[in-house]
Amino acid sequence: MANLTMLIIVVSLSGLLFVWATSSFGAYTGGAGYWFTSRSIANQERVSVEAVYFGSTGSVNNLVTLYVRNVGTTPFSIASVYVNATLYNWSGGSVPVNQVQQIPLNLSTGGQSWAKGDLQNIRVATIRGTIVTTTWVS
Amino acid sequence: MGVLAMGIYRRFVHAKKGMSTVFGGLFFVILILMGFNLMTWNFLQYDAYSGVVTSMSQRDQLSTSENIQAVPPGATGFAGNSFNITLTNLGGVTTTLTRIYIQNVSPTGTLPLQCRGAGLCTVDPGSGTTNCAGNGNCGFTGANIRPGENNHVMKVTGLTINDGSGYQVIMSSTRGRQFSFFYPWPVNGFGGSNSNATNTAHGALDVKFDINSFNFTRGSQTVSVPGWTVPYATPLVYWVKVVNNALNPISISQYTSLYFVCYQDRFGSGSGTCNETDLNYVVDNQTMNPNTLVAYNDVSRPYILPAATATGPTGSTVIKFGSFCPGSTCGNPPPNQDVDFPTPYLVFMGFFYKMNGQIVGQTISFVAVRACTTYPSCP
Repeated sequence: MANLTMLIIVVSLSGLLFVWATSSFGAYTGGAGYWFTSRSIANQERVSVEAVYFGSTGSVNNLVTLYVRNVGTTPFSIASVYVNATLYNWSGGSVPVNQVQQIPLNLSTGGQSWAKGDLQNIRVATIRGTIVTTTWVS
Repeated sequence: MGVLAMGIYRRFVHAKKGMSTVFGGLFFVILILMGFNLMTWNFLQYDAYSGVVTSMSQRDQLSTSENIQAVPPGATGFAGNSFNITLTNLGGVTTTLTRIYIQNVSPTGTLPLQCRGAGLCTVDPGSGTTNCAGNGNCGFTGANIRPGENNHVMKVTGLTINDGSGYQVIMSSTRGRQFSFFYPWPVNGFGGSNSNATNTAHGALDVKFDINSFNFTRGSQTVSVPGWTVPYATPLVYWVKVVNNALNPISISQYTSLYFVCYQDRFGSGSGTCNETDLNYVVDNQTMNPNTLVAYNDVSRPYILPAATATGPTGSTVIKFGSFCPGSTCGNPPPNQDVDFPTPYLVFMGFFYKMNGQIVGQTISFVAVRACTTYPSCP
């Protein structure tokens, strides 16, 4: 009878341990796998802001055009552009490898304008979180 | 059936001891195998991730190894709707240029309007993809530049940039680097040092004005003193501190001189009408004062001003003047020189020097010197 009792205890505890281990390992592999996969892809993104040109609407200096090239090994999508810390959302779709995306911004929508000779801090962020910050003279 | 079941149960109850240990051990082994499996999976994932990180790091390393420089004056060979850009690859990898951006940076309201503002010109390899200037597609050839290649010529077609406007030319590489220059090449460039803000220069040479940039010695002095006021009718040796803004070293010619022109100061110590122009030629840097003049030899002992770097001139050089004649044409030691009137003088610095084997003549703006009878008290 003692044997049977011990056997039941061992089997039930082992079963509990097995279930716990399986769920824990599964959770770990799921999370870690996602992290490795997403970071691997994000790490292949290389964003190059090739040129930025500043234009005007009439006498208002409010236009900025960015030329962003994908010099990485995976396509990316630009999620947002910050001009001097002001956010300009962008949804221009995916940029294939070695292609340029032209991003026209109207600073008036952010209550901004540019002045000739000033430094403009321009930050481009992709949907995977890659951020590139460049500085240009308007 | 019930008897059979009970028999199995009795046999199980009275079976060998240790079955729980067997089951426990079995589960333990399973758990160990699961852990091992997890570790293996983790290693594989991390290895794959590290592979990506390593390959992208190598890619970044190659990118930072790129170093393309335009050779002054940047654009040459203008013909019809084409011109050449001459480049040097100072980096360690072959660089492929993938696009050229050309923007007209002349002031608003000036003509022509090509490549201005949002209408900037984008020039793509080959025959190009856009009609950037209204003369057909803008393209360029010769996009691949080998490491160490000097004077690589890229031909740009579809537009020219020698119309009098100022242009900023940005060349983008396939690895995401940008290299740029302005055309026309900045006047004070002679190579592009960033010391343009200093003053006086119209070329490579420059005088940084401070209280000790224009000094002199007389008699047996060996330590120079500021030369903004000087004694008149006294042989002097002038010490002028110059810097080289060029990205090439320059060698001073023996015909370099200071040219003194007197002018009448009605309220100064002078009287009468001055009518003097004096030349003070460069002397050897062993010269300390007018008593020890050493003729300058621009072949055997030239003044060599080291090339500037991108961050500015490489130190300064004191060039001494005090000879009546260039070099040793009047003997060695050469005759000395003085000013004969107690009046102010305008002093022009006529520099001749060799840069890349070419003689360059340059006038550095004058300084004003007052020659006084009461020196060193020279109001």
